[in-house]
Amino acid sequence: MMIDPSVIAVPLQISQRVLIALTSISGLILVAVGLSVIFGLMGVINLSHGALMMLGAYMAFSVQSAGLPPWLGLIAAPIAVGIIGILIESGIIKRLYDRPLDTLLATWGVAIILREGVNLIYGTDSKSVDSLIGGDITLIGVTYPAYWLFIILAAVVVLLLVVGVFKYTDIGIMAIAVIEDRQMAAASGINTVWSDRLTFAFGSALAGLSGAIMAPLLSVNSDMGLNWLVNSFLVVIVGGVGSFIGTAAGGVLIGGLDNTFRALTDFTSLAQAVVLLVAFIIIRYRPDGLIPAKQGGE
Amino acid sequence: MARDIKRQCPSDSEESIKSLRDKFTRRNFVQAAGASAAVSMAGCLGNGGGSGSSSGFTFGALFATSGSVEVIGRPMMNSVELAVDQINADGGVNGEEINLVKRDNGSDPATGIEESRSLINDENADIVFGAYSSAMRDAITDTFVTNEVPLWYPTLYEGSVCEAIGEDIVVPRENLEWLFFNGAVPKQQISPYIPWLVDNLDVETFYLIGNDYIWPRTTNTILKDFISENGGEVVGENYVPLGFTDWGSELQDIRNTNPDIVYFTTVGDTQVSMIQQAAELGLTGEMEWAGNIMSEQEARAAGDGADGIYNSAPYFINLDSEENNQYIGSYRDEYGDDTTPNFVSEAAYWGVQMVVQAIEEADDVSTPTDIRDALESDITLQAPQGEVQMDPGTHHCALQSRVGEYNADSEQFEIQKEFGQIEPSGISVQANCLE
Repeated sequence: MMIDPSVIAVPLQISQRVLIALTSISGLILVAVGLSVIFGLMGVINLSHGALMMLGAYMAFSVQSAGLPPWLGLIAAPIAVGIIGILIESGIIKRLYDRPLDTLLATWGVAIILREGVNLIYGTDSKSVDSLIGGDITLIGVTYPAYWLFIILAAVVVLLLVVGVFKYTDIGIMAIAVIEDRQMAAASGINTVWSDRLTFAFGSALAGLSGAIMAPLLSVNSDMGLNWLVNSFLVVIVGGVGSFIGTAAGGVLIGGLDNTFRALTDFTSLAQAVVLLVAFIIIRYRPDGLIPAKQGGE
Repeated sequence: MARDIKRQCPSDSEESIKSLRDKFTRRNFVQAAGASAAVSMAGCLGNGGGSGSSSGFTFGALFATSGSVEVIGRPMMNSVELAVDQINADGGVNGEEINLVKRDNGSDPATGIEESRSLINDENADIVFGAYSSAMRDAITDTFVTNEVPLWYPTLYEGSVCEAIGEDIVVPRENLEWLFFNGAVPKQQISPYIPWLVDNLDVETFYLIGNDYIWPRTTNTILKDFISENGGEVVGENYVPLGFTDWGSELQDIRNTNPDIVYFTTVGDTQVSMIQQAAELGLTGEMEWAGNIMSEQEARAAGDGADGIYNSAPYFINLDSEENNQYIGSYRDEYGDDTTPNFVSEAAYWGVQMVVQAIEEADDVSTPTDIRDALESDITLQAPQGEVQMDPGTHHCALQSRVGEYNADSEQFEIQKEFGQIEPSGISVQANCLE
């Protein structure tokens, strides 16, 4: 019996599109989750988030060009960018916790310094980073790049890791305590200075890790983070400031709508404009985002 | 004359008095102030002779050395500087050294306008080489037209006309009198390229993908005519915003449409991520990919994925000519491997040479207006790309046209075809527009 090829073609195209949308959503969540820590939890309007992500991509490039095993980039990037996060926090941010609006200007300054620093060290030409995993995987009849599946997996793992850290580890619970009630936390013997510092470093390390993971799909240069900075704020704000599940929901909604509109039209610029319009409407009716953080503790 | 009004002569002379006051005794000061006032007045009353009497010409360079197009701006700035340094080392223009003033436009049109005014009014620039994006050129053009100083624009672009040319092709009407161009316009890249692609790659169905702004849209409008004239067919078309890098859905559209060739007019990071992701999805192997705005920089950034992609350009960095070896060799000596020269930096380089040649070939050039007049002749020179010639009727240049295919191993475009020199006028540039 002959099977009409077009009968198979349609479901195949749909599964391919679902996978592509999942990779796209995962990229958004991966990059946004670091901002979700620094902006969502700590309230620092971190305009250097894109630059920190960019540093992570450059770490992956450095590891590759030094001839080291490429997966080392996934370890080196969060460590190096986390250390830079400690320096940024102890040098600048710690003075500005009472002045959230000033963090906007200060972190933008940090971003410019990081971008120009990278230009001085690496030059302005864009770099190319190879995928950690080459080749394709055939899944439910669809051939898909292995690395694009890895990105989906990485987003799930990172999200679980972050939720786990702040829910189940002492250091994470202390960090939440400091953010909720600084004086009370200090009175109970928590070192609030180091708690802030480590939380900021953790958010930075996540940004760095996301840069290293996304680098093979992107043109690696000092400006690469700008676009991701904007998208990350969109995801965090639409999802709900201060909530990781919110960030995930924001990523699924923004990325999902984006990919759906793009698949339905053949004019990507317009499709993306419509997504922004939807985001405006959501913020208008749910100013705290899709899944806001719980107020007043549990 | 409008230019003189903007020169703020009184404050100029006040400033020079202030600085002199520190250096001179009271009596000397009176003499010096008198002299300086006289010089300033002479500057004001002269007909805008930027550099004044004996200090030689002042060339301005206004490119992005910071911001989003820094990566392109730097080699352009370097190349203008390199050309000026070489001319000065060789005795300058008419025996006088050129004074080069470099300014960063920050990839931001508002900054570009500020810096243009400053180059004209504070530095008395006689000609300025500048701008990369069409938005930047558009923003600063007025400043040069009102002040009657020539602006040299060394970038490939959509073309510009004196009078509107129908509704189909969107080409900006501009006051071309003070503008000179030596980058390629669509006709110079596309007219021989499309028939070549159709014949040599045996392609018929085209998918057009571009960034959503004037250059890709104008290029694609022109492209469509050439595609249908040559028996091809456009089966898909899409535009993505600048800065776009998440290509999955668009590439799936292309896969479903299954064209013989994807013709891209995406730029910068958008182009690089497109090629990388198309390669991951296997699309670069399934169909041909070609464009006319991929330089060695983008190709190298895209890595192995760019292998086998075709590009049409007046210039590739590995051309074997005496002029090119000299350009690339001296560029590397001076700036190392920090930035890669490309087809726009090459144009910036010989643009300076062409201006200098025009000044030397004409008699008695001293003001910006004289330079404009001197450039309005068919100056010919051997550029790194080969022979080029100014077309006085359009202020554009006749350029070389060739096709390269990228080889990821050698990180170079291998020349596949030479089309020779092509006139700028015909499609988006009107012949004799300025006569």
